Amino acid sequence: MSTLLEHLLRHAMYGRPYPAYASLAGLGSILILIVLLAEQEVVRQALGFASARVYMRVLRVGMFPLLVLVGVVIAKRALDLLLRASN
Amino acid sequence: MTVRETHRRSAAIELPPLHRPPALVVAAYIGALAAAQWVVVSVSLRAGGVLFALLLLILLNHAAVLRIRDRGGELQLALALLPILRLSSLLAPVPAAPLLWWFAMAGVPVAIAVGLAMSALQLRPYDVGLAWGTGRVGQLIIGLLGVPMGLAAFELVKPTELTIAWNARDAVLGFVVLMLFVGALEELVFRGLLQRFAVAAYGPWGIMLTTIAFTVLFIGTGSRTIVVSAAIGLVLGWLAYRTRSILGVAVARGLVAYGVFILWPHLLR
Repeated sequence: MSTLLEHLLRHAMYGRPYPAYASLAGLGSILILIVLLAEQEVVRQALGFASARVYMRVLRVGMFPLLVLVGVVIAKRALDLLLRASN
Repeated sequence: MTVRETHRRSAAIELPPLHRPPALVVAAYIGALAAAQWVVVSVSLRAGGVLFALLLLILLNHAAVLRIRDRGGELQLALALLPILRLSSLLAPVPAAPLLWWFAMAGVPVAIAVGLAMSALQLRPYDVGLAWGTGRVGQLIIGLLGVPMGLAAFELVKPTELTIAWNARDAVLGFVVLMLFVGALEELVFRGLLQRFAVAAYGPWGIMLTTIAFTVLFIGTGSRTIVVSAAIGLVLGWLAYRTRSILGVAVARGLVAYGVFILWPHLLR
């Protein structure tokens, strides 16, 4: 496990550069996720149950993939910080 | 074959009555997609990412409002998959992973979105063209068209950056990854969902609309790549429309990607 982690850390630092990696390119996703989560509550309170259900079924199409993406961005950032701390 | 099966076959990629969104609105959405892609490649990745995210929010809300009012929203929801596709390809790949895995990493969020969109629209697999359509032999032939199409695409585009290694493991792994995450998944998005609803709204012009939406995501990759992508998109779109199935075009698209990224560069260089 530690070997794997070391491998990942080394590659995160010295591996193929990728423009999205160190930047806050996940900003858009994070913002939109916050809006969708807030909207969920507003929609639940403002619309009837049936309408809110239809609404949320559509919003979920964007929400769950963005949750995965935000998780990936945070994990990459954490990996980067961990590596910097270890140096 | 039962009557039900016959009905199912003929129903593949055929359309229930659909509220037709104004063409100007759809054109505006595709224009906004093109603008966001241009910002990503020419101005700032961050700004482009934010634009794609905002576009996603607008499309989702537009679709949701229309669906509450029982006035369609299918095309808007299908279009919402495109910002997800682009955001995912920008954010999901991990630098530590081999290039080949980037396709899979970027594909997972898109696959989730496709599943949720099909659930929200109450679509079953054959509704999005996951059926034999007009025949198995035809689908097989269409699938094999991917070999010459891939060769032609490689000769015309000649990708200069190639980092996928040529060995037995990567050749097999590359085949599986590209068939699943480029062939099957992207064809499900473009031909299975987007073209299905575009054709329902605008008839055969929906093929052109889908091809334009497909092509704008290649902005920034060079004029040759854009022209080749448009041609491939148009051919695959027409074949999917005529055969009422995406099985063949998914295989063809996967073979094109495999040929361009892995097979032909190593065989012909």
